[in-house]
Amino acid sequence: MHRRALAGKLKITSLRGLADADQRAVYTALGNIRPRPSLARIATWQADARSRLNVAAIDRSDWHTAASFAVIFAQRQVGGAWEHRVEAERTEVEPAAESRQWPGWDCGPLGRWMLGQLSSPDDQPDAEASPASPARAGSAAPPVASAAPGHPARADLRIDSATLIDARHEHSLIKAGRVIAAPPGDLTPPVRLRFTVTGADPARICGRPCGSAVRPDRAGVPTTR
Amino acid sequence: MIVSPTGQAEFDLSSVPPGVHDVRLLAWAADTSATLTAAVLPTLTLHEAGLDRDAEVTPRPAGKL
Repeated sequence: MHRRALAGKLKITSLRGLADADQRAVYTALGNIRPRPSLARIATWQADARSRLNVAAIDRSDWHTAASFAVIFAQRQVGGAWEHRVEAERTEVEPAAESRQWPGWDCGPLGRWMLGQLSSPDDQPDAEASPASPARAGSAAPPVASAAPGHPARADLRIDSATLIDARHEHSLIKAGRVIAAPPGDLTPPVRLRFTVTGADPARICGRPCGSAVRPDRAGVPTTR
Repeated sequence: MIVSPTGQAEFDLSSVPPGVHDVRLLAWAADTSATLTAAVLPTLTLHEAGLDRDAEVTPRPAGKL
């Protein structure tokens, strides 16, 4: 709420902006917030922002957390077999990030997604463009929007697995994004194709098979290949 | 088809005519990223349901999936 008010009314979106802001202007901008922060409280926020800017300016050669994640390897039993999935959530970000899930325990999609969340040091021209999270600093300062929150859209969409299921067996065709086997030539109807997609919000992924008959079953018709 | 929240989806290939098929699997993000991906599956050979595979099969014209 504080962040929205400061960003909307005063265009304060960074620690530098907060540190340099007019105290009265901040007080006025937060007039609709209850309880309304006092001038003394705002002064404390600004002092804290200046302090953190100074620390960041001095301490850039040290190791800092670029991003942190909570990862859960989850499992459940379905029909006597264990079903696995990986759950991950980026931590120490404001607002709280939504958790992500991938079927199986293959860490490939997870790793790519986590890397996609990172912003390289070159993306951060200076400390004020990427203020530390107030929650991490344990400060009472209002959350200030980061100018370089990372690249959430960088993760690639990928068909992670594909399995043919006929009346008798399951045949894994693609695993970890790679074709691993050819299907047998004696698939018994009914045949279904199951696949998993990773790398984006699953709720917004669509898919379909697309192809053509190369030749009819066991016939001498010329192929289209 | 919309993929389930687990990222998994399933197609029934019952309506696919018997024969040898080259199949690509397409998936795309229906959001502003408009990301698209595709995977080429190994060639699939589908037989007619309930058919004795040793019996003679009447050739059918090639069709689309």
